[in-house]
Amino acid sequence: MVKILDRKLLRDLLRTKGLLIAVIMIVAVGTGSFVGMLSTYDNLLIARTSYYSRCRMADFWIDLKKAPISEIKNLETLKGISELRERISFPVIVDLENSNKPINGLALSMPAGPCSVINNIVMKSGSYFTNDIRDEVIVSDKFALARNIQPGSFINLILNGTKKKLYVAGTAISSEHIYLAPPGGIVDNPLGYGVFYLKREYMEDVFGFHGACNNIVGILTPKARYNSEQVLDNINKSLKDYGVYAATPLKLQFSNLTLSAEMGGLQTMATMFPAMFLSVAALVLNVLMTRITEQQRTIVGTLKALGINNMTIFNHFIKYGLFVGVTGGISGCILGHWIAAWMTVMYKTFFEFPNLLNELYPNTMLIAILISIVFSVIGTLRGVRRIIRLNPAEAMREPTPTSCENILLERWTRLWTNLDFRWQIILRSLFRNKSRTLIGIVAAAIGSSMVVLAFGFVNSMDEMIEFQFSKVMLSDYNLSLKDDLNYGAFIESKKLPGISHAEPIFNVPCTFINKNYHKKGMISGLISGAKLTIPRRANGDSVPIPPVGLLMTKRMAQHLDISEGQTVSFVPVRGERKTYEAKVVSIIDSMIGLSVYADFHYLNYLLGETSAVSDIQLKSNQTPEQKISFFKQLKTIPNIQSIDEIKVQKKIVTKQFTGAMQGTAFMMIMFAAVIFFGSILNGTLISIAERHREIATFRVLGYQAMEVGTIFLRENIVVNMIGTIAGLPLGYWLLVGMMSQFCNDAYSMPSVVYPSTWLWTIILAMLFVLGAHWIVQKDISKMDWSQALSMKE
Amino acid sequence: MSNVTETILDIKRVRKSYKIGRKNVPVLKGMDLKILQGECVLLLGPSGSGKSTLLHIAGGLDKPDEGHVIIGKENIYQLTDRKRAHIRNSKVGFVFQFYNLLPDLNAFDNIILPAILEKHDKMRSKKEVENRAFYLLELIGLVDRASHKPSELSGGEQQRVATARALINEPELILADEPTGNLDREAGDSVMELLFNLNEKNGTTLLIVSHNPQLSGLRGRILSLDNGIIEHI
Repeated sequence: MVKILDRKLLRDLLRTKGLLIAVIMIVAVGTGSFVGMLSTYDNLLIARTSYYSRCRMADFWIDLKKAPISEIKNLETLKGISELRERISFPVIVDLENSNKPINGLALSMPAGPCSVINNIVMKSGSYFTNDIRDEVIVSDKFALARNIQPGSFINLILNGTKKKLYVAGTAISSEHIYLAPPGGIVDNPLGYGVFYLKREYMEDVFGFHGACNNIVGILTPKARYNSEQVLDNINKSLKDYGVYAATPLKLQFSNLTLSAEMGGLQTMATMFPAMFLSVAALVLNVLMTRITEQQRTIVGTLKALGINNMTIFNHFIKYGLFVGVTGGISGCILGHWIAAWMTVMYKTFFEFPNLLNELYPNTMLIAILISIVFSVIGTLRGVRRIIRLNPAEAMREPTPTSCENILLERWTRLWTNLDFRWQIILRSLFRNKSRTLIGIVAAAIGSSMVVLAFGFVNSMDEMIEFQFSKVMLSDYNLSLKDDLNYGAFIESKKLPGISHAEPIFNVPCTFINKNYHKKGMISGLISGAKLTIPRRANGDSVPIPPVGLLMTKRMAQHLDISEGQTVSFVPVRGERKTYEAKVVSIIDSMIGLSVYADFHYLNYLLGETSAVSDIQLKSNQTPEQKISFFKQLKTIPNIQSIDEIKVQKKIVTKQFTGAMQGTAFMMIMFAAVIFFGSILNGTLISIAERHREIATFRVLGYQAMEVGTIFLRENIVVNMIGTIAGLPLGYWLLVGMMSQFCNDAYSMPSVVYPSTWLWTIILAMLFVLGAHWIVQKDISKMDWSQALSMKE
Repeated sequence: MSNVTETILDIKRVRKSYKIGRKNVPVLKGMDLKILQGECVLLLGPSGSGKSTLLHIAGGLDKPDEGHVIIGKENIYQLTDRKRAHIRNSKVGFVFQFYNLLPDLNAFDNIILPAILEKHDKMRSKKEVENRAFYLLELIGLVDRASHKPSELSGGEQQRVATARALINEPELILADEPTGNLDREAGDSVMELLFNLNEKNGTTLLIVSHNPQLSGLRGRILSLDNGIIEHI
């Protein structure tokens, strides 16, 4: 029995191959996205775990002004601390002979000999420090590659205002810099930022840090990892006399945070995408199975009459769903493995691992196939159950013709009678096949939501970049000073070549306190009427700097549970470290960081300073010669800690974020096309099969194939446009959900959909409909309508 | 098996009505019919008189609203669906007006279809089933068409294959619903002759329903069904 029915199944499968391929493609994309995203997630997880373990990645980072090493030893007795390592860490400027522009970097102390320290490095080329040469440096590998710096060569670093020529012993990577962005930046820039590992003794000498440190990294006991905040609080208290700028647990460390946010996004997409695709597949399969079982109603009745029990018939039809599930699942696994390979290669350009490979995950694939089978079988069940419920006699009879009662619209006589008869046919068909129409609408809604999501990603990135670089940060250069200087230095900066305008900033790192909430951050003092940094609200409105009080970003206000008009306390990491109070005048929005702004003079006055300047913003109108001269002069100014060229930053952010997003968006649009095509082809080809006689009659009456096809095209346009419009808000809602994954203290992605996106979604949906109709039209054109007329009803 | 007085089908006080729109239309109004082993019964009646409904109820294809149907010793509507299916498979053979052959299977496969269920009483081997199918193909004169699909056979040939399929499990009762209704005169006669021969030579019990009183070579007990009641002719 099984064999004969299996042969029948095989023939059924062959007969409906076109429709099946459409459903299988949807299932394959669903399982493919599941396997692809989860495999990429696992690739990153495995690479991260092994890398963290290899480098002995710290559980926390403490940045402080200066503390004696003896004090650090005492910290090891604190509960929850397993091991500590003190370091010396300073921003540096790289003066490369082949670059006019000074380049920013970070100098970090390392032991003179290789040993297993916390946040160790992995050598990529050359060697660890030798004992022969004192002035040695190990350069971060990405920077060395980008700048073509080879081991054995020399490099000039401006350390503590003095230019030093250092021998490059080797290049290395470290787990704390998997994603390396300059301070205040959000994207990695191998050409413009590097890490330079120097012998501790050397840094002690250069920076005057004998027996002292300004950076601590540590490992917590396994138990304390669940409550790192408590341990960091205790460390803060113990080091309060040494000026703690920041105490950062692993989860908030920028590199780890960025990687985790990306991995979180992958996990979300690994749930969301398959759920969307497999739901559509189940719905489409339901339409297909209802049709197949309805078509085979008499056969089922006969089989039942011949004594074949319901279970055998059920199993026979369920194999159809199983076939779709297994085939779609296996194809999805292959597609998923390819997606994972593509994404892993893409991630390699952002994240630096010693060993990030695309592995095969049989468990993930098995789960994917099982999920695909479950969805496909669910999609099959309804149609099979309907036919199984019929008793044999009923099944052998032709089904009762669908009700020819008037549809709802027909009651609106004036409208109905004014409709072209073709529209009347279309509307009757849509209303009489309600579940099929509804499924078509749902599929189109999911497809269009995916298009909105794809464009929305790019729009949101554009908006973030536009907000930050065209509305908030309007300078051309930002100079960060090593020590706070007086106003005179700022006046001098105006004289630099080609500079048209300059504004001073007074940055004060501090701890904000409100009730039981506290958060480390920084107040930026801006001059009244500042033109180069303009705090804004999300809608783009600028917010003037108040003469007294603070402007605080929404996220910081949320951290501190504070609202407009309330007073916040803050303890600056400088001077006497007294507690100050200031009113939060307005809440503002920022896409990068947790900015808090105050009036430059107010902040100076509050802290007992007189026009102290920590950063200078410059606006330029430079000729190329002036630019070269400008950078040359900057290299000679000892107090400059870092130089940021905003246009370059914007270019890098745009290239990295939007570039990566465009690839993902293209893939998502292709996926949406699969949904549209699959759903339209299934629904229409089934409809054509059911309406063979109607089509044949039209042909007999002299209608051309194209004219008959237009009826089906119009039906599809109605269904898919309703679905597409319904999918627009759904897509926005999904975008908000996705973007919330990428909101943290370092940056927050807005959820923005430009009006052009709505339009493009509708245009694309229309193109998908027309594309699918091209196949449908071919089917109508080659239909043997004369045979359809002679068929038994 | 050889006791001719044994009742093979006993239909008792069977009532059946269908809902058409909001109306309940009675089709069978307390029907009684007893058929003995080896009997040939022809039930005639105009279209819509309930003949097919009666045949379906008799064969366990459609549940009556009231009444009982006993095949052999089993009250079939007191059995589970699964057991009723088993009785249909082993004790009853059906011949339908539109043949109801599976279009994807060839004549041979269509014939053996009921014989290859996993739990069959007779537990015949594959070889035995195949031999029986060839015997039946010979009986219906279609050995050379064994590998032909229904679409490659004429109406009469298809009905012969359907008859052979009904006989594959050597059922005690053959129920034929308008077996010639879709055939021309010549093909119809040949099918009827096949059925009557089965009854006369093999002692197969037959219940044939038809709207056509002109059926060739009428024999056996002839009944008429009108307005939901059976009358003897």
